[in-house]
Amino acid sequence: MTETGSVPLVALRGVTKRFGDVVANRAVDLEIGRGEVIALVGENGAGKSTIVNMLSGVFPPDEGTIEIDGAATGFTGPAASVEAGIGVVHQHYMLVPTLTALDNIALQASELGLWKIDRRALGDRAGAVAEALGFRFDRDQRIDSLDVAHQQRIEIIKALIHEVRLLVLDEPTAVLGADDKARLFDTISGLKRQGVSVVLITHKLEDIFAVADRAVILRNGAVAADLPVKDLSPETIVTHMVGSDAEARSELEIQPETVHPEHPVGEAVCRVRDVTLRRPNGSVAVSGLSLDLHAGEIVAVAGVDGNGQSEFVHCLAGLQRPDEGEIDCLGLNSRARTWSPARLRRAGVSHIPEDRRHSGIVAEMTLAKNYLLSHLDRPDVFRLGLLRNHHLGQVVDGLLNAFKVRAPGSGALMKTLSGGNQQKIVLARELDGDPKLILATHPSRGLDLNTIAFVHKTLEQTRDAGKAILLLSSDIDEILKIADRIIVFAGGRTFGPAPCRDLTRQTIGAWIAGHEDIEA
Amino acid sequence: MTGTALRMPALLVIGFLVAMVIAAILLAGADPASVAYGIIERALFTRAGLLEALLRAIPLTIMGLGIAIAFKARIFNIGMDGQLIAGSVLAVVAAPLLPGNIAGIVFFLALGFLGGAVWGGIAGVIKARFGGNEIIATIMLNYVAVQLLSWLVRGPLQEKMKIIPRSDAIDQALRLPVLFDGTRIHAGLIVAILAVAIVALVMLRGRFGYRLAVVGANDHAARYAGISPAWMAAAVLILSGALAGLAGAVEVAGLYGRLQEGFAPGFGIAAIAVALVARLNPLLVPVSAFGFSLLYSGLGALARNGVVPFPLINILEGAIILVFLAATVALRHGGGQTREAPESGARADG
Ligand SMILES: Nc1ncnc2c1ncn2[C@@H]1O[C@H](COP(=O)(O)OP(=O)(O)OP(=O)(O)O)[C@@H](O)[C@H]1O
Ligand SMILES: [Mg+2]
Repeated sequence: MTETGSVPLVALRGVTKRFGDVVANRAVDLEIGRGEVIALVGENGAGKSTIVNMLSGVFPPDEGTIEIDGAATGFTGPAASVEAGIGVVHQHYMLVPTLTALDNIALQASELGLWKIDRRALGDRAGAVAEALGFRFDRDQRIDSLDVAHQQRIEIIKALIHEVRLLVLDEPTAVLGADDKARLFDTISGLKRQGVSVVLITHKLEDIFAVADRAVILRNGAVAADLPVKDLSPETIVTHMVGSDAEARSELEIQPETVHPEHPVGEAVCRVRDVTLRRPNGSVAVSGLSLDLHAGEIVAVAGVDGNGQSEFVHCLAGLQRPDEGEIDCLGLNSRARTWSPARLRRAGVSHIPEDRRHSGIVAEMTLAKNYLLSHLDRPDVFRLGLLRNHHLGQVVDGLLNAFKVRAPGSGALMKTLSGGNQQKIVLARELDGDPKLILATHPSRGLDLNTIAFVHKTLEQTRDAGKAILLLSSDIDEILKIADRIIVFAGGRTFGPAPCRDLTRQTIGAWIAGHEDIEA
Repeated sequence: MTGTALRMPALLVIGFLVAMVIAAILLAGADPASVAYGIIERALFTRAGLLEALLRAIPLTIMGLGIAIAFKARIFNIGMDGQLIAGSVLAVVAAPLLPGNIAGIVFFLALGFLGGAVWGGIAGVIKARFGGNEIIATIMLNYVAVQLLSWLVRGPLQEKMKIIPRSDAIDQALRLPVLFDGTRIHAGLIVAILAVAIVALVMLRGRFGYRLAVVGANDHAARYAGISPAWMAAAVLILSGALAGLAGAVEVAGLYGRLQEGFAPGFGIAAIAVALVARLNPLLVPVSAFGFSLLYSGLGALARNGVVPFPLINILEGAIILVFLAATVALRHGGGQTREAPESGARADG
């Protein structure tokens, strides 16, 4: 908390923001003291990113003011916010994938018009920032050759290259594995020591306790609670987040550590034989992979991101072919011409892609049209080859209800939804219909606690209904909670598959680190 | 990226162009007000002007639809002039084999459609199979088609008299009938209306139209959803080429009755302007096409009357098209703020 008497670094006073009928922020009061780390939490669509967008000058509040050092400020645009010392890493990265790290940084600087670009000076400055943070910075590396954790570091460097007094991070931990997350928290603590304030948006309760001094909990756009973390417990946070909504609460009832009941496992829908996968640059991502996916089971693929998991899922989705070995899936073979996304989808493969924003949605289209993306062959939405808009709208509205998507209706444009709600739509779409094999890549990423519980329940029900599910996740808790078998990708080789109930956390941890097993 | 972000530059462009045009007219020694009046009077207040515009709107509508399809998928077909020629050549070459009745007319138009499809399809294969740039491919194919036509009407297809570089007239029975006595408005009008209806249904309500919109808006999402962007590119070039070819056949059968050089000058580029001003909406294409045709008929009158020097007509035409385009950008509602934060240029999926 800011000591009484001292002026907060940044303060929002009675800030309200509306989008049409939607009130994204309602009379929000928020003070950010110097050197303070604030966790900003709330359900999907609670209004967190909207606050970030106002702090970074993307749009002004409709009512209320933003004060910096006690003086009301009207940001005229992103440059003004940067100049005021606010650095932001947005929920969706703003990097140009085909440019190098340094070019991306230079691009921002020039767009902000803050200085004439002296690439060398800029590079040196970026290098210095990276070093202070303990990052390795290769200025000539192209963004699309970096994994998300490293892209995030470039974003952080990009934000810190200016004199920053407040760093805002919108859901940075959603995409990070345990190690990268720990490193990010070290960075935050380091900034705090230098007197920089940090606002951290997260859906993970443990993050709050790991780094934050104070938690601000949003509910329906309004501040529901603003308390020091030491006075909070996970239960109180959840209570503030969902309010008195008893139904929502009940979904979060802590289930006892599931003792995996025996599931009757059906026949194999997909056989993977001695598959070797290469990355675009030719290096081996995975070799000698064999795996059967059966109807009625959830098989988890675990491991640190970038160990071939994405390539494997791409393969099963028909987006690439194995370099060696073969896959038989629902009557299609990976060596045949028919191995394509269209054919596999028609055969019953549904795919929740890893980078949903990039490859899972069309931002400029309505929610209804986004649903159509994977249901173009659904017979009842077309009559005589013509789209039945009204009927489609009803179908999608039903799904929005089932998944509790916060959206005005199926006619809303995808880009007007909050990040988490966009994710929900992709999930809802891919689980709908009658898929036989579901490739679920990080299904709970970016979702709030309620929704994660709901997604887990849905995946289990889907499994029990006799579908095969491949779950790609970097969260061991999630895997142990719902998966039946696990296979770990590490350093070009694979461990398992083995039934989850036969494994300890330690063993899985050792596999992920690339060891056969821990010494007893 | 947003309408709001582009509004200022668009207004600046409009202001600049208007000033330029006025200055040019003044320099040419004419009175801008009377020039403007001349255009408007001819286009809007004379029967001849209106009819001429309607006649011109027929091919522009059909071609504008083709551009709307292509641009919706972000395939930039600059080759409609070539495709139009290819369609009319095929139709005229095969004309002697066709029966002299309604069926013959339908075949004639279908051959135009086919010829355009083939010409567009060449660019489609180059794009889909070899990843070549469709803009370059279609432009190059324009040159090929123009040269081909020029050779044909001086060589193998030249009329019996071998005097003028043009082909023999096609059988009178293959000509599109005039719809209204005392005018030149021909049955191509019906073809254009049908084309609008069909293309609108396909683009706004059909699976194919949906696929092209997805490919145009986010080709990654398209790939993941099982829509092949390469395949769509080829299909789109074939289809928009076919519409250009159809427009060519309609022009030949409706107006000229034969092949000759430069019989549809600049229609390919005009069609792009038509489609852009219609914001790629097939239902607005005929409106936009008629608007542009009015402009052409007004400008044509100016040229004939010698009010302003001829090159200035082209300048005026270009400037007015640009003003229209800038105005559609400036008038478009930005739809409020977009979700993604600041810099348009830094969008990863732009
Ligand atoms: N440009 C916009 N147009 C219309 N509605 C919008 C727009 N931006 C945000 N909203 C709405 O405002 C509300 C708050 O959105 P916001 O992005 O702030 O949520 P969030 O708390 O960041 O959620 P998440 O955890 O899912 O990222 C949502 O209901 C969203 O649909
Ligand atoms: Mg958000």
